[in-house]
Amino acid sequence: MNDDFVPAHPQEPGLDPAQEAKAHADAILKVEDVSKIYRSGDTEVHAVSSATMAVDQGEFVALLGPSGSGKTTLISMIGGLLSPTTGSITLAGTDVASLSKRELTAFRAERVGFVFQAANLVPFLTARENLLYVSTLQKRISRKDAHARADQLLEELGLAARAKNVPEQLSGGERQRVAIGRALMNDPDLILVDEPTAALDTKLGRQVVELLAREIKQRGKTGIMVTHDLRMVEYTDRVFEILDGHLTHVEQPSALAH
Amino acid sequence: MNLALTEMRRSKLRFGLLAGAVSLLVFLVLLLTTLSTALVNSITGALKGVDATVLVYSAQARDNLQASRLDPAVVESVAQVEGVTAAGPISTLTTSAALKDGTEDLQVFGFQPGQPGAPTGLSEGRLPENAGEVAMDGGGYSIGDTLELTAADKQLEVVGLLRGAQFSATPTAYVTEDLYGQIVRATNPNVPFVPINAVAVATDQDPATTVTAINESVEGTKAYTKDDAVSLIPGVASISQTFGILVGLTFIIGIVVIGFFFLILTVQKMKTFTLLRAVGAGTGRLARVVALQIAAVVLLASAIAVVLTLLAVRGLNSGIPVSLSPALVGGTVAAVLVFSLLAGLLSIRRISTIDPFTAAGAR
Ligand SMILES: Nc1ncnc2c1ncn2[C@@H]1O[C@H](COP(=O)(O)OP(=O)(O)OP(=O)(O)O)[C@@H](O)[C@H]1O
Ligand SMILES: [Mg+2]
Repeated sequence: MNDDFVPAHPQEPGLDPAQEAKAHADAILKVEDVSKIYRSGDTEVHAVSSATMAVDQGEFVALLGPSGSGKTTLISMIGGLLSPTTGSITLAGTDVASLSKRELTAFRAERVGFVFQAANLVPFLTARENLLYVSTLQKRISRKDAHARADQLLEELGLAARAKNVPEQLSGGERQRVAIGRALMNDPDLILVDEPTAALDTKLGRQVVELLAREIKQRGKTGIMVTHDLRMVEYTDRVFEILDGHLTHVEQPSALAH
Repeated sequence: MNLALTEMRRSKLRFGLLAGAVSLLVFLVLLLTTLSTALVNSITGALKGVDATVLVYSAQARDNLQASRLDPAVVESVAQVEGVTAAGPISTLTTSAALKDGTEDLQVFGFQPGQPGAPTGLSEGRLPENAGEVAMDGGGYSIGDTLELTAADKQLEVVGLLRGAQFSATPTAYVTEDLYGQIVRATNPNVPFVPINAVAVATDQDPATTVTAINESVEGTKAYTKDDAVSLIPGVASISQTFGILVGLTFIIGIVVIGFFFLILTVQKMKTFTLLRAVGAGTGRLARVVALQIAAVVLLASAIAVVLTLLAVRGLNSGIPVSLSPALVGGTVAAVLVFSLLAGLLSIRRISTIDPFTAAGAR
């Protein structure tokens, strides 16, 4: 368990995500009754159990829960990195679970932007090259447009002056911002961000999340941010809480304000 | 933006050291092969270049041209054998001469102009036509020079120059059978007849068939295809084998070095490859990164190795003519490339087992 996890104490109890999903009938992302069981030998870990949630186009939501609650597992299934044991995931009409390995690779390259919890950048590429490389994995954005797009993203993320530096010459916050740029580079439908502030102090963490929220809103993207830090949810539209693999409530960020 | 080449550019030292090590190994392969070819050629050139497909020695010669003694009349008997279209004598001896390059040992070959047994490999001028003329390989001669045979006390005019036609790594003179007889009698005035060493045979059928036919019908002789006769020259087999083992070992070491280097590199880069798989790079794309880097290293190393070999061949003028053949370079580079890429499968197998989900875990 993580020490800095603050349990939510909303004034009003939040809604049940499965109930609430019904109100989002034309959501871009639909997660329906998804479970993941890790099996190793004869032990089973129920990492995610019967998760149901819906996220609208243009929304930026948080997935809040303590360490080991299944946050990374859930967004990995949503992003096509991991197949659910049961249940279905639909992103803009694509049934993610039905894709072949090869289709999943292309799905991840074109439809999803990831910012992972740990290693995010190619160590021998500069900030700009880290963005440009992922653009070679898709076909919609031309090479010329990719260069302009990379420069624009770096500019917006305050990295114009660091474009030619390799990751080891960048600070933690700068690296995290490059990773956000990399995630946005291919103009994906969905941005998945796992603990973007874990390695940063509070002030820098806030800056990065604020920037992330701004980019997602400005570009009309849909985003899910995993966090166990209650202070980071104020930049999001809704907060899904997860505990021991169960999605328990959906809250308004204001209801969680401390 | 090319991942493979960008990485190499950023890690010049690492890839440079590998290319340097590989280039030394390729250099050794090229140099050893070139030297062994040159050595074998200088020993066998005269026989390899004989204008014939079948050679006949005396039965007691134990496969050795120089130990073979035949009556010149045998030429006629061989010519009668079915399938033989023409036959001519080959005679050879070693004598002393005052060679232009200062050495004294000379190998002399006698042949009958217009008959099998004449040399090939003329690079300049023509073959001798009468008893006053000679064609030379080695000894530092040009057309029009005079060759002085000290033992036979003769002055000969050099009318032709040959290449790759030496025997026993000694300067070699080609003369008519007539002149050859005079040289023999000059030192041995009492010989009843001038023996020949071999009969050179032209045939219009498979050489092996003619060999059998001659062995069955001409008493006291043993026939060989020319290729067999060449490989039976004393020393050739052991030279080829010794060099072959050295070249083979060097080659294998080179491939192992490349294979293990890239395997280590791949293992070190596992986190990066996993990240790339997670953000949508396919296994094939990453395999191509490894393949391209291997190809780049091999080609760079080969270029360095060719330069080194050329310098070595030039610097190492050892008396026998040595030259680097383009076919050898092409063949060696292609073989190193193919086997290095196969060794790269070790790395590619590692890449293919990556589970992209691992990238999502907190290290
Ligand atoms: N590959 C795996 N095999 C077996 N169990 C796993 C595997 N990955 C995760 N788990 C388990 O599944 C549960 C959920 O893990 P997950 O990584 O999704 O949690 P999390 O909420 O992201 O935690 P954190 O905040 O620490 O990153 C944990 O109990 C974890 O030990
Ligand atoms: Mg996690």
